[in-house]
Amino acid sequence: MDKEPEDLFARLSAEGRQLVPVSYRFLHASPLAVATVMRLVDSQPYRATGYVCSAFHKPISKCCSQDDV
Amino acid sequence: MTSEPVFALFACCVPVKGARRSVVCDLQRQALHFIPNGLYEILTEHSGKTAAEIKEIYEHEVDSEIEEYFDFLLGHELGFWCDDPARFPAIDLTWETPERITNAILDVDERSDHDFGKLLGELDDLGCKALEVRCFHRASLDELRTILEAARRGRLRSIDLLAGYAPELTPDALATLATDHQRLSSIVIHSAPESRQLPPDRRGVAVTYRTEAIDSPRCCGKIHPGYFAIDLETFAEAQKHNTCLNRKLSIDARGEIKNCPSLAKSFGNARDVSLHSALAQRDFAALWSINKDQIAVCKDCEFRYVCTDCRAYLLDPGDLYSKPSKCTYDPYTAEWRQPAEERTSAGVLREGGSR
Repeated sequence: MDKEPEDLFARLSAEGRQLVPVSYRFLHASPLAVATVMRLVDSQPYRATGYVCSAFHKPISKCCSQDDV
Repeated sequence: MTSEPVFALFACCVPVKGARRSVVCDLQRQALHFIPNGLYEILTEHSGKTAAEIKEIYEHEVDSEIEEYFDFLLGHELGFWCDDPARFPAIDLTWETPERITNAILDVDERSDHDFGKLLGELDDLGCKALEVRCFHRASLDELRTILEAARRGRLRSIDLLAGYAPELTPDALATLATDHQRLSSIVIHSAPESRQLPPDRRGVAVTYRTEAIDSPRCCGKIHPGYFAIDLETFAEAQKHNTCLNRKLSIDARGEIKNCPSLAKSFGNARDVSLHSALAQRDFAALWSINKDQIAVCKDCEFRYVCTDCRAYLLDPGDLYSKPSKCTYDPYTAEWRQPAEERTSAGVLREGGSR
């Protein structure tokens, strides 16, 4: 397991390095740091598409029938 | 610690009892699994008991069914055997939000005269994070751009756009619109010559062309599985609040500020009063706390915490606690009035354990 933040950071992909630095600094001291950061990197495409963070799940109105498309 | 393992549902898998059958709502995978009410009883009243103890309770008359139930739950990854269930407490279904308004509807037709900048600025002040713009008329691309431009700098997280078909609203034009306005999360074009669902773009924005005409608020209020929201936020909100109207603000096509454009009660016209002052009126939040456990028929429905309610179109318009009139599901027979192939097209329902 990497102890230094620099080592862990070096293991990330270029995409992974674009993670918010605060998350990285918060995580690096944890014994689960590597797994957690890698999981964050893995989930990045979903977060980028709003699947995790920004979608509003409820329908705001309900105008469409179900049988049209 | 117990000597024999006991079965525990994952905290995100919550059973809900209906009159005829129950469901396990998998709030993490956003799926429903139908279960018989007998299994609901095992999962709730006999929670924390070992398989042997449960079989003993039923006097060994249904041992094979009990085994089958647990196989079903394990097979669908809804739970697990554990030695210390106290270490796996139920999920906290308290619902709180910092926003005074979480979602809004803005109706537009050919006679609308909205000040989009003012309205969206005020919604932003209220913390609104999701907006649905419903253009009941044949909207031009320029008109849509004008509306979306007004939302460019706010805190909105998502915009759902509904607009009448115009030849210039081509898939390419709508794709460009979605690229230019990254808050767009879905686009539905109604009154289109043919039904068509375009594959989601890289951000997951879905563009749908529909032949049905959605030309007034009267089209709203439809209840079907495609509108179920199987997620923790909605499920938690549904415990105490109305899943449609809670923290919702609507501006109808004439600028009237309402809970819902389909409701008659107006809290003033947006030209004359601010959204803040409308929201401050005592009655504005009156319908927010009508939850499904209080509504006739819905309170016996297994879908009651994933279904988004409607208080505008009721079976008995004189009764605020009446069932939505556009819901065709009967929880006492567990049947929808539409053909089965229509209701399963949403892809969220998964049949299982249907004894």
